[in-house]
Amino acid sequence: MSEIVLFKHLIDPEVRNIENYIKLGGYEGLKKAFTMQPDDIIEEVKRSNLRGRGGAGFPTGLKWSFMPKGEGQKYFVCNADEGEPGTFKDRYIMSENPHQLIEGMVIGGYAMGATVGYIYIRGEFEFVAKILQKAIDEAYEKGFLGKNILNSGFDFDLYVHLGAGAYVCGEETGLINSLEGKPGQPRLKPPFPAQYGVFGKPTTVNNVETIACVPDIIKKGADWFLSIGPEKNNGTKIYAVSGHVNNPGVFELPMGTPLREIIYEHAGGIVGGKKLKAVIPGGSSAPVLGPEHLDIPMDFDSLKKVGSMLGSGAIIVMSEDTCMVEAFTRLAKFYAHESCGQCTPCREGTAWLYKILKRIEDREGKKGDIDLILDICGKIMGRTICPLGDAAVMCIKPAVERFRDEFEYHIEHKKCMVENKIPIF
Amino acid sequence: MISIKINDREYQVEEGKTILEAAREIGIEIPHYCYHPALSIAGNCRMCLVEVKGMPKPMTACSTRVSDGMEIYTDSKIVKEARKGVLEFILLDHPVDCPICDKSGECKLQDYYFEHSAQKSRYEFPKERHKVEKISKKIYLNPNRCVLCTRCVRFLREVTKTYELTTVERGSHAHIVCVDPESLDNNPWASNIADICPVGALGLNEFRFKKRVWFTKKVKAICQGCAAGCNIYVDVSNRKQLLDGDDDEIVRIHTAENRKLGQFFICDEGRYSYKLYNDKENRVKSPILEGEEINFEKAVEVIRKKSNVRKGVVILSPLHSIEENYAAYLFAREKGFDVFRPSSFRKELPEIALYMEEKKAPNDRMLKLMKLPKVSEIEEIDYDFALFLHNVGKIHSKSEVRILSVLKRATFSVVFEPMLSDFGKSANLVLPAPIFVEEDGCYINNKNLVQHSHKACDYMFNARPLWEFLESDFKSGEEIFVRFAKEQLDKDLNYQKLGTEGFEL
Repeated sequence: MSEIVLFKHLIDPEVRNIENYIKLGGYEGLKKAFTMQPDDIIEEVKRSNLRGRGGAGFPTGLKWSFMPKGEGQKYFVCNADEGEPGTFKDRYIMSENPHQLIEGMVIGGYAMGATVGYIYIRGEFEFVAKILQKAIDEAYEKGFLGKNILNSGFDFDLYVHLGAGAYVCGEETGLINSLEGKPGQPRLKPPFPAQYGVFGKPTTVNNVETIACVPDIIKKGADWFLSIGPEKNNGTKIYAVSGHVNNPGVFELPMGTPLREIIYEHAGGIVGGKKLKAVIPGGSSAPVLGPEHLDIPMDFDSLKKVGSMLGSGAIIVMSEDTCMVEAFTRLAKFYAHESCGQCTPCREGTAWLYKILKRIEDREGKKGDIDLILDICGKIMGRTICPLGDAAVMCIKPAVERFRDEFEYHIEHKKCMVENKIPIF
Repeated sequence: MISIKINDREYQVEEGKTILEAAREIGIEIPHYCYHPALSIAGNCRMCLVEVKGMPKPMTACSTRVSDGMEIYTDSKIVKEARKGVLEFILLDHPVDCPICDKSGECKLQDYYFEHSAQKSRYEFPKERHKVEKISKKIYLNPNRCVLCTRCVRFLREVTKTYELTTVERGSHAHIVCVDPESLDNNPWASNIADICPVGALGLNEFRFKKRVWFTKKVKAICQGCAAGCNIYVDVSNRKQLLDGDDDEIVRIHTAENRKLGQFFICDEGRYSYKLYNDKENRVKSPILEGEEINFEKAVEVIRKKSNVRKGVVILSPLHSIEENYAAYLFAREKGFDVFRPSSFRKELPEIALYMEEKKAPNDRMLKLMKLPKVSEIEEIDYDFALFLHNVGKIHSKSEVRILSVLKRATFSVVFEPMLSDFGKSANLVLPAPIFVEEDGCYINNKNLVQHSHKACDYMFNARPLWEFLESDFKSGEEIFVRFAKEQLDKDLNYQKLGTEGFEL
């Protein structure tokens, strides 16, 4: 068994209780943090090479350092709007090991001088929000939250905020607007949240998994974190495996674990011993890969090299029984449905893409449809306010290119290439 | 100032400007829908994408600020491709009903389509349809033509702060709805949303199906409604292209902007004031001497004779242009007559006043600058000759009473006005005055800005400028203006020097 950083419930199933968490060395990181200068904490996080687990892989310490120094209200926001299709990792951290997130929030708040924190959690996670709230209450009781935490002179209040069910609120500025009570529509950048965030104040938004890594980095030091995983891709990663596998689930493994090992060892291989047809390595927005990519180390840089991305680390496995037209029509529908409707290319383009794909799936595709899809993708990519439009393209375009013959077969023969197909979504 | 390159040519521009604004000042138009100089940046239409050297993807010109050494391309292959793409997306669900759309001819979608795309749509699915509805007494909304630029939403949020419109639903189902029609009815600035709508989605009920814009002549004029001096466009039905028999009718008044004034909108009161000027029935069509219509020559002769007296008075008007007033003033000076000015009519301002001024006269400041005595200072004397300049609009009621009594007690009284009023009815001679769109005229607003209002159509009926009736040597109104500027302002000014945004005193 490799090192456990986040899934401490595998050591103690009751770690969600504060007593059990403390017994496992919980809140030691916070205590140590208060012996350090805020800037030194940011420096330590920088040195650890911790990169954002929400999808972009941006260096966390660097992001923290963008926050202005000095007085004035600042906010630290945890992005728990886990909405990417295939992704179900953050909910386990929050429901099983909530104190680690809370501890990370306080340390981050102290490092950046933010005295208020929000955990923006997706509306469907109401039960998780309750667990979190209970943990927050416990932390207040023990003096890990509130005024003058552990006699450090530092105040930090933490609130759980339920979203209302919009994928686009996982985009940090969409999240901020939603948190303020406005429609969940992303903002134009610049200004970036570090200058103009929640209620116009400097704000940093980090993913749940990212923040939950912080307590152990502070407690054990950046060098310990650097000892896990390949260079510049350090630490453990939670891989959420779904699709046509025998043992779907979440696995905390060192960053850079090969895809083959994750699918065939941890997730128990493909159902019915079938062949692998395709795999989405990082949530639906990550370009789809094929069997030839099985030996890729699952980390930010390795996946980037092959034109995909680690994203949220959500691995969707598709066996040879998958109809790619059906699978990606379903995903296209998701993006069209979730487009906030603000900017032209995404609003109109995603809906159009879905309509064409649906037509192909319904055996009514026309000659030239595939080229039309690719052309529309080109007109969305890089032309939108937020990355949702790009995400739709990164999902659909590589799939259509890689499995073009399947799409063409649908159009030409008016039937599916795969017999006895097994639905994926 | 910093130096930037646009399409390989170097320019010096002000730091802190956005690419779109910097380019606009240079004279390069970057197409856009959602950008509006008086509203917050939304960046949602994506029409203004430009290529910036060193940037991985096209940038929105409306939100990207220029920096020293920036190299911008507004017509590269990538940019053209991006614009084409955006236009195709916008037109997916658009009904393309230009033949029955009132915006046709001045629609940004139409213009840009012909300029940048002109390609057939590749969209083959049924278009989503919404009902066209009157969202207030003044405005209708056709959501099918909407490009969701949210200019209207932002105007009502940021300028009038009344929040009547909003977008609802997501993705391709997103559309604009009115959440408070009553508030929109009572919003004194509401009709601006029809002006700022870059397409045919919002329009005025009053203008609907009324006139094709290419059958009108559009000139920039100064609103006559108050002392603010807002810039307006006046659309006059064009006699030469007349199809339906209208004769030089003002079809509508809409917003023109004046950045010197910081004015980008006009109030509904000013906008709908054009109806007053279209009142042909009450128009003074010819000079009227003691109830009898006479011709121009006869009127001139009568004035010459009757003004050959010692005790005369001329009462100027804040409702008339500098040209008309100063011609009358010079006439009085030559004859040695007294000159007075009436007080302006004042009106309480509504809650959302923005640029509105209490004083309801466009040229109040001119008469004030000339330090003329008010009519209240007229001593109770009987004049041998009295001339009063009157116009559409009101003056202070106390002044009205005083002027009426002066006119009535004068041996011979003349009133110069476009519509027959109580003043005209009590005068011996009424002279047909032009309305403001029939002649060039200058006005000085409450902020001491001298502005030029343009002529839109010929004199109607037998209307003539006052100086012609007074037999002065001037050949044009501009000559009078030049003389006024020299004598009263000590400035060397003419119409050209006033430019499009006026001259600040």
